[in-house]
Amino acid sequence: MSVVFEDWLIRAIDDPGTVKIVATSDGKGTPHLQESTLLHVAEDGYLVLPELHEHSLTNRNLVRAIWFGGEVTIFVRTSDRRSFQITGSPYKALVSGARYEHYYRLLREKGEDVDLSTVWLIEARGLTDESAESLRHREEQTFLPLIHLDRIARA
Amino acid sequence: MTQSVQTKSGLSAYREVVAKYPDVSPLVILKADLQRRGVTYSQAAFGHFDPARHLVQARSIFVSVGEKPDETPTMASAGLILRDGTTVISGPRLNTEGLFVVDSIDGKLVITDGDDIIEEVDLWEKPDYVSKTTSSGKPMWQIATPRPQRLDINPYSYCHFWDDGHGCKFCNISWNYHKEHKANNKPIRLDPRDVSETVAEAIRQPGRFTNIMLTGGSIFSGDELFADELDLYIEILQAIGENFSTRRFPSQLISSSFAPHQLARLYEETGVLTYTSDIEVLNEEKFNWICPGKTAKLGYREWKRRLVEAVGIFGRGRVNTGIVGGVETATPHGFASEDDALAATLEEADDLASQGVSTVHCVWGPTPGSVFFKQKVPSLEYYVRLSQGLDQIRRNHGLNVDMDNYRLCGNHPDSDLSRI
Repeated sequence: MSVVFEDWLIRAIDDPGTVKIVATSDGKGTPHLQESTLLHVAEDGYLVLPELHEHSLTNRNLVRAIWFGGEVTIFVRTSDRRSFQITGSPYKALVSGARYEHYYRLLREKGEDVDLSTVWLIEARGLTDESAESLRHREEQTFLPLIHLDRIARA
Repeated sequence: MTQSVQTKSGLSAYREVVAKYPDVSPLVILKADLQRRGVTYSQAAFGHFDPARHLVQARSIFVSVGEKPDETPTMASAGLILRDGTTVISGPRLNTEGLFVVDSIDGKLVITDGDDIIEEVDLWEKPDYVSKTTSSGKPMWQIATPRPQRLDINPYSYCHFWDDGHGCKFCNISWNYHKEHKANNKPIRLDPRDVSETVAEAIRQPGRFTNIMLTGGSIFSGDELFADELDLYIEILQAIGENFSTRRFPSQLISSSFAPHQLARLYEETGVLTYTSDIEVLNEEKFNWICPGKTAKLGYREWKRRLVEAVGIFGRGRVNTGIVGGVETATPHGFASEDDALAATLEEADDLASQGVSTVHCVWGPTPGSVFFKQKVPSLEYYVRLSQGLDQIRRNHGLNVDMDNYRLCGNHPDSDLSRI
């Protein structure tokens, strides 16, 4: 089931002050993290990850994921320190065509001498709020509380 | 709707092989099977074709599509692209177990095998240059053929191995030339000015191309063997090079097997970056039978030796050879056993790799106009094992195959596997 992103979250992901970390894993399950300033949500609802490097671990791990049904996780921390985790699967690797060229031109217009390997379309399947307050609330609502006794000892 | 190819297990052959090889990309296996069995299109699929967006007209050295505009409504796309960016050059195959059908289901273009919906698929998009003409008035789509990220140029469309009927038995190049020359006035030779202008126009499109590939038929004439062929490629490559600001440009020449001094001249006088000479069959006895012209002019061992010599000029990872995967099982003189064919092929590929030459394979499609037209291709499992074997050999020898990878070429399942 795909996640439908609310407008405020789309704006938050697009905010230049937001930190976005893409987590993938290799064939042995070893995680790899990479920050992506380019990741955003497209109009058709897919997360778009333009990957510059053909041989980066992220790119190779995403190829592995699209081949063998693997997943990708994206950690998002907004400038007002709210945190979210998005899980999903690579849906398409665009390496040519109009949509690919659109992102290529955007990159080139930034003036940096970079190239573009792949535009990854990621279908989001899960979204969790990872902010400290939300984590605490979930713990309290769902599980027996973990409370060190000194915290509740009489003064 | 066509029937899927069923096996004793009840699974389709494709599904059975995917299940048997869980470590091999199902999409690469699908590509090999699409090329092995061929593809046709349902009427509903044609509804997805947009001539303004998709490549429905292309002239290549082995086949043309859409030469005449009125062919467009019923013709096949020049190629398919899978979700992972894997390129599939495919067309209808005769003498195969059954065609895959590209169909339209729930608004999406999909590959089907009988009732089985296998995968979503896209059509190749066409670049801007194909609607332009050169200053001499030639349509640019007739000068260069686009793949998703590569520009193909065929300076010479006839192979002189066919002068006395000794062309490679799987190849239809000269048959196709005669057919297209008669039907559509296809020229035997391209003009360097037309090529230069077409390249100039093509590379104006940001993000469209990452490589230029040249190939054509063998030319024997000149002061020594292949001299005129070499001169033609140098002339064309120099014309192409006018369009680049760098001494060398991403490019591949697939040619006859030039002698080391010829290769040195090619490297020094042009900006070509990588070199390929297709040995076609990695076994001397089968080569002698399948490629009688190459045998008579140069021979298997000299073809190999020259490939190795080329590494000294172009460098490791910049020289390879292509084989027509599966043709070594052709009857009556090919390997009777797929195991024997695979062992012989991989042994020779390993020997070449140990000397810096990588091997890539395409999937043999017995095409009209070739001697082997009526032949039957090997099993899908054979292609999976061949692809795995060639990929593993390169890994063992630390050989990078980017010069012929999924993006720059896209016609080799083995180099698709090298993406991870």
